[in-house]
Amino acid sequence: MKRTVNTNITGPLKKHLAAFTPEFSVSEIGTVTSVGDGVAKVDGLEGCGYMEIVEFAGGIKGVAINLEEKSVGIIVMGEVLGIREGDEVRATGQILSTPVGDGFLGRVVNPLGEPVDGKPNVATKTRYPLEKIAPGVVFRQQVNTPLQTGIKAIDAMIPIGRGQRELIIGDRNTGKTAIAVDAIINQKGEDVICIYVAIGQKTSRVAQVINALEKFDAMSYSIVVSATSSDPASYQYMAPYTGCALAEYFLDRGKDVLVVYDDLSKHAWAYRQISLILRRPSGREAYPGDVFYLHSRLLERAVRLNDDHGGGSITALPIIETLANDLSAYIPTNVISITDGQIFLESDLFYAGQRPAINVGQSVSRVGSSAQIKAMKKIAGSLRVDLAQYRSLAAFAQFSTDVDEITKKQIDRGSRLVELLKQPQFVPMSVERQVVSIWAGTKGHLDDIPLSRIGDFEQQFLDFMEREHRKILTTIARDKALSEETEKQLKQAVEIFRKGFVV
Amino acid sequence: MKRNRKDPLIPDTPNEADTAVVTSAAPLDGRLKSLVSSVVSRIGTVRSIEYRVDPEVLGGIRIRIGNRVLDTSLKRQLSEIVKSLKSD
Repeated sequence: MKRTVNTNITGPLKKHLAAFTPEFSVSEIGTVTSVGDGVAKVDGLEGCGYMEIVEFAGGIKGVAINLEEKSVGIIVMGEVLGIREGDEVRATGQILSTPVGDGFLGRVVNPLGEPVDGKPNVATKTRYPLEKIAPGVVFRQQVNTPLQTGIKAIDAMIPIGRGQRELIIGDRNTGKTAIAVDAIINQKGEDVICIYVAIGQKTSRVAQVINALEKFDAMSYSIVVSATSSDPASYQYMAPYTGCALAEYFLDRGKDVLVVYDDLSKHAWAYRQISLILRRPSGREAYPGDVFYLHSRLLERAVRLNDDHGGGSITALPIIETLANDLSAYIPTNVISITDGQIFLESDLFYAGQRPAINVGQSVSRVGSSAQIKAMKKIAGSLRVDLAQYRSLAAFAQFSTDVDEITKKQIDRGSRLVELLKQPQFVPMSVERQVVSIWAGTKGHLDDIPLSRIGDFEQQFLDFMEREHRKILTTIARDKALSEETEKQLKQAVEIFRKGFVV
Repeated sequence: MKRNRKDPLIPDTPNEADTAVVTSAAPLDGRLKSLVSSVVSRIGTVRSIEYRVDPEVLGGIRIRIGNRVLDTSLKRQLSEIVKSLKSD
């Protein structure tokens, strides 16, 4: 890449040099006794603290995480190749921290807060520690504000609130990242900062996500923390905590933040690698004994603060990849017990065309309807019931012509609602449109439309509402409730539309 | 490494903190040496001072006592400048 050289470089350089004042102090040093696999063992550094940043020759940084009687185990944050046995290591006296600030919005950084998007460093003086004790009980408030993902199936039946931790779990290629990206795109105009933490992913995938965020104008309120699979295990280990520290900066200023950890399975792998190299005792599936604590201390920092402390919130969407839909494996069960619910994506549903492939029966949100607007709460109840009945009759759905009238009706209604819940990627729906769409389905206005035409019906009906009855939509959006009057108007509107709809 | 002197079963190793190593770019004269020894006594107590000459240091001195270092060499100052430029 050609760059033009600014001939005025001597001026700023001279100014910088004149302002430079060297600091002299006595520092603690150690000597590297062995190095390899991302870990350096160092003799000396007696006064070194846990999680203290140390510096190798050449400016490579490391973090001390094993304090033993005779040596210190340091994970290298950078290229191990530049470190040799016998090198001096200097303790910096700083706990592992990252720069934070408003300047990070729109940027892509590595776990040390350094830019990886080719743009200059973020100018900021504030640093936040990566490890922090989560706010205690006294600081918290109940989760009562919805975080709209824009995905009908989620916002209606597995609603997420600001300050909640909701796990997105499923096999590979079931649409986990797609849900997270749609949720981020839907926060446009909602005054929510979004942070996407990519852990151990292919660099091309991270680039795709960034592309999508840019295309839908979401980067202006988002930060991407990237530790790809070619980055050292130490980067992958630290990345989620960096994302959380960046979020806490905005939390302390009373803002709402959404953090996506994609994905924590690879995070556990990186931590397992580091622990095995440090010879820490391993347990089930070779994970170290504190792999639960690895995730619990991260997710506990997702919080809804009470008004005395700013009223901000951090909502966490951790992602876990399962193998063969096994929810009872070690890491999945750990994270399920930590989070306030899970969205379970099944590959069978995905390949059968049900996208998003959410298994509504096994997904749950423990915050539930406290995180829904009144309008949605009203119609989601009947949606849930209809779908549950449909699921229990699913086996008979194949013989729907051979069953009694009532069962047939339930099957027809259920299959239409399932069809209604399908949604293409990158098209998150505002909550008032969701309410109108689901209302039409649960009130039976779709019962005589053929299954294959449901998608078109919904699309055209919503367009019709935007054109002719925009007032109804704005009323729902403003009042957040569905009054009797509005329902009557909706009923009239849908009947007009149905007359004009070509089946 | 400091060992526990109270436990007679743990052998005593020569305390590295007994000797200070002072590295300079060129040999020091008597006046400089006495200045250096007063600085050394402020950092820690030593039994002897060893003087080394290493042109790589470029200038200034580097005092090491055991695992504690006071580095005012030109080499280190230059690397600090480079670091501060990089972070801008």
